[in-house]
Amino acid sequence: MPALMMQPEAIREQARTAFAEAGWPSRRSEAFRFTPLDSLAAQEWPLSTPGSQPEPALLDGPRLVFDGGQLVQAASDALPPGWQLKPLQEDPVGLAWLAARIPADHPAQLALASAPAGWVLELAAGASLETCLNLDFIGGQPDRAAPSLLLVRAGAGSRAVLAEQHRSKAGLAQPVIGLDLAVGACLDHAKYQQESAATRHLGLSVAELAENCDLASFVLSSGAALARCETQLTLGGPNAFARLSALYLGKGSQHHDITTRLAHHAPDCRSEQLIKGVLDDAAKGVFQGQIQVAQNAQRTDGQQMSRVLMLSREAESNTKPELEIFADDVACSHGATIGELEADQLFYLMARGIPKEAARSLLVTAFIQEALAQIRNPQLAGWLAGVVDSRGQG
Amino acid sequence: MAALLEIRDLQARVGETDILHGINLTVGAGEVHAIMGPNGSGKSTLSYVLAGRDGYEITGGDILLNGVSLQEMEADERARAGLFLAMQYPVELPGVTVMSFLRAAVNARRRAQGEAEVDQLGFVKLVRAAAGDLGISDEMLKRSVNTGFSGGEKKRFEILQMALLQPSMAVLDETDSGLDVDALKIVSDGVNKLRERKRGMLVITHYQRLLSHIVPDRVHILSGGKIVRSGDKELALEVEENGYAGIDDAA
Repeated sequence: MPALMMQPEAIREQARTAFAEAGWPSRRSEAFRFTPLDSLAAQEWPLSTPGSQPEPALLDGPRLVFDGGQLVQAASDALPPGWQLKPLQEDPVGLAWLAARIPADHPAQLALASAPAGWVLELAAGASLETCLNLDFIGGQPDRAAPSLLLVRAGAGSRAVLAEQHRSKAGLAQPVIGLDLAVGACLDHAKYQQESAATRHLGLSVAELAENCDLASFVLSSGAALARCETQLTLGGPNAFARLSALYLGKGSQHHDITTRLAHHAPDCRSEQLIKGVLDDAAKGVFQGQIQVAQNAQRTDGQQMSRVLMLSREAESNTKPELEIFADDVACSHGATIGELEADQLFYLMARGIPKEAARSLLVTAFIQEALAQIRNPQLAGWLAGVVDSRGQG
Repeated sequence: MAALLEIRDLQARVGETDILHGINLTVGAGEVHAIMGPNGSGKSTLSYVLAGRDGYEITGGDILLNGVSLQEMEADERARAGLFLAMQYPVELPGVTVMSFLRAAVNARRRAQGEAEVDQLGFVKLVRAAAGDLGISDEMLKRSVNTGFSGGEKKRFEILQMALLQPSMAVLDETDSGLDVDALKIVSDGVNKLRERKRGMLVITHYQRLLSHIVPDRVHILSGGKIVRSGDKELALEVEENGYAGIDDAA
């Protein structure tokens, strides 16, 4: 039975069955080859309970607080006019929309099955909001999972700015976020993954853009012991534009995975992706980027570039770009570079009296700047530039 | 006259190849010396050995700046001690803006001398004035270091750095390469402005033409990793006339 016809409990039950069959993906699963999760199967993952200390907002604008994955309305601000919030349980179409976009063997099925409540955030057609709406994910407990379901529906012709911030203290964060953009909607979106070193982050975002939609999305991933920030996006109507860019900063024994699947299902759409990573110490980085161009998606323009800067010989990087093109009139390209700091650039800076560490830091900052320049919305750009600056990366 | 730069029996290799075979050279304060030589004579190796580039290993002899050995110093320490190398091939640094680069360099020098960091606004004015003299536009100052600069712009930018850093000893490696006549004049004027009583300069070049703009006090001919002849500015003209072959024979 197609998911669209199913009632919430049936959808949840189906997800439970799907996860029970597939389990945590191992190295043998192509999509998780570089980020196997089967070690998570060694234990049960009971749900986190909310009730952690309130955290001050780090970003201007109204905020929704998710504690252990669950929305805490008492800690959240009133939504600005234009936005509306309702339980996903009361919106079977919304739940089915999310369910239909999660692959059967994907561990997000567990989040779909077990998240205690989900929410639909709806922006009225034609609404135009310059103020950023801040989704703040806090809390989390050791050996507990914090699944979260949220569907953002942007009405036709609406404009919005959305910031996600993930700063759990512990456990397994599993945010599943849907972005459903109706005709002509325009969304600026940024996600900052800064979970604690005791946290694992498995984020899946699924997005669908209708005709003439415009999405500029940016992921900054710097926290967690292991983080997978995955986006599956479909350009479903003609003349849509999507930018999916990301920056990951790995240190210590961190594992950062940026996975994108970008499907061009309509003609005359454009997509851009610049994914940059800086890996120090024994950090591991993974970028998997798939671009699919359906047969009818003529005149597709899809560009993808991955660049990794290795600051240590112990660091490891895996990059897997994939193009699947079934249309004949397309301009698609992908490229990937992995390199160290250039010796001649370091020498040039040092020959001007700049100490080695400062010279390295200047070059790393320069590398990072190109990624941050991808953030289109000034408030989001200023926020993440400030974050990177105060981290003193390099 | 006090020796500013003293190169004593300098031997050096790059990788497994010995390139410099015992160079002796003393530059006094206020003097401009030229080093001329054919391709492969060791000119660029000498400049990199002086500046302390990784991979250029001193195997014998020593380099003294103001009586202090540079041998154990990293490139950045040498620069802060007052040595400046204007590079033959300035490197592009995409994402590092000209202003932040210049400020980092000048502040590194000032900190080493126990001075306060530059005042931001005053520094911008200072840079603009110095840049104007070298025909460097405000637009260029807004770009990333050397990124998208023409060959001539890169060389002018090297001289701008030298003007701002005020080194006690400047080494100019093939500063004339890739310059047309007009650019050569601008760069030479910039260098000549920086000639002064306390500063020494070592001008490394293949051709005499630079030396008719920057007139040296002494000229040395480098060949096979050794200085084979030294003389006054007339020696450069002799090279121009007869080529290096004749000079080699004479040595």
